[in-house]
Amino acid sequence: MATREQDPLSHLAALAHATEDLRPTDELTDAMLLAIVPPDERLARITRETSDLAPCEDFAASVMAKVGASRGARPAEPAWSSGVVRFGRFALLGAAAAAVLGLWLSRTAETGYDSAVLESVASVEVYE
Amino acid sequence: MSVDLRLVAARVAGGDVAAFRPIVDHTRVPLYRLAARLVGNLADAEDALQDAYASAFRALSDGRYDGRAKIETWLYRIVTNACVDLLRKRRERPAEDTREPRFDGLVRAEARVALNELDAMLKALQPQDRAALVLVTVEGLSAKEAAEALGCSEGALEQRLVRARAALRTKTEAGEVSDGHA
Repeated sequence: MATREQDPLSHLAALAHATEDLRPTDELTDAMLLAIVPPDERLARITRETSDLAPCEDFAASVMAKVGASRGARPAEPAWSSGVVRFGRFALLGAAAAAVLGLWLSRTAETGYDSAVLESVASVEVYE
Repeated sequence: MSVDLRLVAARVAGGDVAAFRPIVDHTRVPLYRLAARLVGNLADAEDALQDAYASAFRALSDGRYDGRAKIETWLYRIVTNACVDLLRKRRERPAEDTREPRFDGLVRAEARVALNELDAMLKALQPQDRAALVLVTVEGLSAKEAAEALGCSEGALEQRLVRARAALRTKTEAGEVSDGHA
């Protein structure tokens, strides 16, 4: 409220006085210099300054630990009823069941055939 | 002493985990530098590089390295892919916390400042464009080598370079320059 009541010219003078000692930091100069340097020159300087980047000795040990851990961790066994595993197991069970059935049918047929042959032989003998 | 890394890789493929160590020892310095320049900070570079080594080990163990490219070239490609993936994730979900690197004991202060500047300079670029520019301009790869590392044709690489340079020029002309401290 007090500012509004103040004479505009004296208010401006007060603002001018208050902002008299504004100074940029050195960072502004750096930013201005960077702004006028072409990108390729900046990249070339960054390339030089990062040319000796290297990790410390512990890095290799850390990688080996991670590699060892990933090797030890086996993927979880999928549930019997999931996806391909389900179809694979049903196929195996089906094939086994078919084999057993085939064997049983073959043995039954063989037994029936044998008895029929024996009966025929017996009837031929009786006839003779 | 030079080490034939293809022979070492064959031992890893045969189940010798410890044989992976000479591969890491032999390649960690150039690959650390590559990852740091690609992602622009050391903490992310360490994560990407560790993931890349783990991925390379799995590929060797599963017999997915065919031996046509040199191990160094093959690893270069894996690290580049890991870094591009990380840059994509960073664009989708910018991290709020700033993590500290763990293996940067040998890194000079000037190099850290330069990396910050590089990251600020390339932040607005698409990950693939940024990677193309870093591989050619900073790493000094030929167009063929850079295209191979990025898994694209040389024509596609040229397009990415043109886009990246145009974006940098626009940024400079618009005065959006940061020295990396912002």
